[in-house]
Amino acid sequence: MAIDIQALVGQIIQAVSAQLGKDVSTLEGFSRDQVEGLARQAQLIAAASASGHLSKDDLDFFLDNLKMLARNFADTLAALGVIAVEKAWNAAVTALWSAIGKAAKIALPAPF
Amino acid sequence: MRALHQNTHSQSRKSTAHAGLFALVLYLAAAPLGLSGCTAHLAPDYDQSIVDGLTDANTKTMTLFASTSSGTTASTFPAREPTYNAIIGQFDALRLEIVARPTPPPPFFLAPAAGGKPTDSSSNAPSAASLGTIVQTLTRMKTSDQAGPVPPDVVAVFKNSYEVSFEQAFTYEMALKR
Repeated sequence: MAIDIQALVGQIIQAVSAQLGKDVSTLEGFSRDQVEGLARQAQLIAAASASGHLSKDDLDFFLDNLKMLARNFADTLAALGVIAVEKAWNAAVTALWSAIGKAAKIALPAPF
Repeated sequence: MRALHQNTHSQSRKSTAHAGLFALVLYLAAAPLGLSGCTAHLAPDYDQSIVDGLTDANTKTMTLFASTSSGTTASTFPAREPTYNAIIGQFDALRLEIVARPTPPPPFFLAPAAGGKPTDSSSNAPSAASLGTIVQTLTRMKTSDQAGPVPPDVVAVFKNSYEVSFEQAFTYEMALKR
């Protein structure tokens, strides 16, 4: 049985899209929470500073801390993107392996 | 009719032979690389013990924040000191476990340019940096608590910083479950 290229392309797109769809939802939720948290942090620092409850040293600490929070957010988002790429790639490989196995009528070992 | 049947049968056999040959060629081409090499592994493996540790440390930390949300005084600090030490130690131990965990090399699109050094974000899980920030934040809060009164609005700044960092670390570690 020959492989139907158009059908295989459709299966790969479907597998990858389903995977990416789930991951994009996760990334959107995470990003929204984080951006809100960072904005809240700026608001809390400003309020505590305005009330005179933060020394100069405290203010410097919290501003550096806010920078780290923002940097860690960006790094986490990038790393979550890498995991999404990995899952999309593996979904494509699984679809390919399945198509080859069916076409050749052989049981290929799982690609994982 | 018989000739047509033989022809169809012959084509079917050829097709099966071609498919088998195609699979054999693919298998031989992939075998030296290891078939598992066809799948990507770009991030560390999920570790249930790290997630369990994060969950436990988070419960203790949120309990501490609940008890300090109205502000603190230095006179009551000794009662909280063991909790500070326990959660700071627990988060730092988890950070070390994450740093020591085997991590696949970064994919080509995150690899450093020739001569460049890999960044922390490409060579380590980002959760290690987030836990490092948590340790710094809680250590600073402990010092402030010990030195004198910490008003509620300052406790709120510490708490929000903690929550942002914790969400980063926990989301990443959970995303490794794939």
